[in-house]
Amino acid sequence: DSSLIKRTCKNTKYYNLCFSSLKSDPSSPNADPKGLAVIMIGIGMTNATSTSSYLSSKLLSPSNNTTLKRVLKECADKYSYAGDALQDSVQDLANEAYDYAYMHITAAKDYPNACHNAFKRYPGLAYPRDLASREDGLKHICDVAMGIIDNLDW
Amino acid sequence: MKLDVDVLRYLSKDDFRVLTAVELGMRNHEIVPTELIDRIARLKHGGTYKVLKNLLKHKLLHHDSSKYDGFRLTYLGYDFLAIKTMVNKGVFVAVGRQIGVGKESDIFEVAREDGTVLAMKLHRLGRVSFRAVKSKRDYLRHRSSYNWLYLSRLAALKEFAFMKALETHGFPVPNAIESNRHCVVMSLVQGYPLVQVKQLLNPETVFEAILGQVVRLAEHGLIHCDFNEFNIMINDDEKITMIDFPQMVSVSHRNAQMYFDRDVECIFKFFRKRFNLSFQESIDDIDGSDEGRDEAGKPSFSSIERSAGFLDRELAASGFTRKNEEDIQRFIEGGAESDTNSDSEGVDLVEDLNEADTVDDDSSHLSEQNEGSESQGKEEICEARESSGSEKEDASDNGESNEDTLQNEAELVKNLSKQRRHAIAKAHKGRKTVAARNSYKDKGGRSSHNSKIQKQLSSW
Repeated sequence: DSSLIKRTCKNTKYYNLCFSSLKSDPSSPNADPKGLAVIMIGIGMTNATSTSSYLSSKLLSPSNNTTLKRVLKECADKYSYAGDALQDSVQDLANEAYDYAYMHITAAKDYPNACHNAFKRYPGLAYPRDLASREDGLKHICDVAMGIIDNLDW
Repeated sequence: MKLDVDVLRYLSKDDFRVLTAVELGMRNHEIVPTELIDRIARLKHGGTYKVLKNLLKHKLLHHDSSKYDGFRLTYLGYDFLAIKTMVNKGVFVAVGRQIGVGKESDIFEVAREDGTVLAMKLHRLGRVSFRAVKSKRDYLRHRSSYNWLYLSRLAALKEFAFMKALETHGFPVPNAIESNRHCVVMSLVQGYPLVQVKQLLNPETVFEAILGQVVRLAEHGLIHCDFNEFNIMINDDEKITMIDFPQMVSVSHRNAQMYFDRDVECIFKFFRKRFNLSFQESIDDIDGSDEGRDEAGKPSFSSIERSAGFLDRELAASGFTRKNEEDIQRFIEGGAESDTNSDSEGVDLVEDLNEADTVDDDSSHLSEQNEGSESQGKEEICEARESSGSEKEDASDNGESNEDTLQNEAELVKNLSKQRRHAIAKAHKGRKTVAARNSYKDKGGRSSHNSKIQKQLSSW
């Protein structure tokens, strides 16, 4: 049902991201607002896990120096934790614990900041542009999920 | 303590967001750093700090800047989080008068939308512990390694899980309706605590019914551990209801026999003193009922297995894991032991409980925070002590006065031994039950959430 998706996305921060993400998911036509939140969180989990794997693969590059490797490892862990937090959020939604669900997504959204800050600790390290766009991507997905949950009845 | 829920209607979603952020932060911080609260709550335009001030005003948070600037929930703040969640779920719509004060819990009437009245129990583990620590000046710098939030939530989780499981097995317990955080909502039990009852029409029947439940609990692999006149409700038809379950243990617990004997003896003493029951007559009655159960009530092997299945499923569904049981048991037993030991031994026990240091300020803040609760707890403790004191006096008087009483004592001991052997034999038949329960593995219940949350927060 497109109208439910439109109505739901209207209350989120990034309407276009919300609509295109939910619309392209095959289960969204039959989903209620809570189900839409779960779909969005699932997209966030995929995104976070993908970034964590991407960062881990960078660790294998022989050209990276020791400091960069340490920071990449830390970032890979942070994005993995973000994925875990989103997983917890799905469980909370299933238990109708919307307050915890919201908090866990807030946590997931903050882990990219921790990664970014890790780079800032070393002036010599430049924050990769592709990582910056992945950071924004995950944060925006979290904002959309939080917007949907915010409008559930709690 | 006064539970003024009118404040609830003035609190916004942002207020609860900040309260939840502090709650999550407390899983790894005694005092949650203000910066962390702001990062978790993520309000706009510095809104977190405005909300923190509002919550302080309503006494839902406590502020502490001795080591760093931070906050922690008060009991009231935690109450509000649980109550709001319950109200949002439609479990109840209004909170009424307080109807009970335990050592480590408060009980209130709540009303459903249709007017039905239920009971809401708010667990407050740590209340007595603070009192114990406070009375030992030299140990003010120590604190429990688990905070009261975690322990109180465990107590509620356990009570709800056990109440559900016992209800499923036909035990006379309140109907468990919902739980959230440290809060359990259950049906309101009609009647009075047995301790308030001066006369019974059929004391022998009630006595037999109560002992029957003690034995039957053991047959299901459980011992109540606090089965006394304060935790047994009785109505006008003289039907009993058991209440208060956070301290229950398995028959495989190392102190199981001691707890079982204590429960039985508590009931014998109460009925002898209050209703002048003669144990000669009672023993005959009990023998009769025991034989009846032996003949008619022996569960078959398959029944026992189904029973195990039910208990495991109920406990698993509630997320009460073996680790949860170990955590709460360590705390409860520590508290119970220090209550019954001399001062010097008490000191050792309190020290054993404390694994981490904290500054005096934190301890004194916690003490101040719980001052009201402490006085209530103290009153309850005094009452219990008076009761046990008079019981001792009666016992010694009887011992001094005549040989008939000595004979009764011997009969009592003999009967207790018989009851013990009977219950343990039954429990052994259910050994598979115990093994199955103990072998339960965490299947992603609430506890795995907790460990993940701790990992997340620790990494910040």
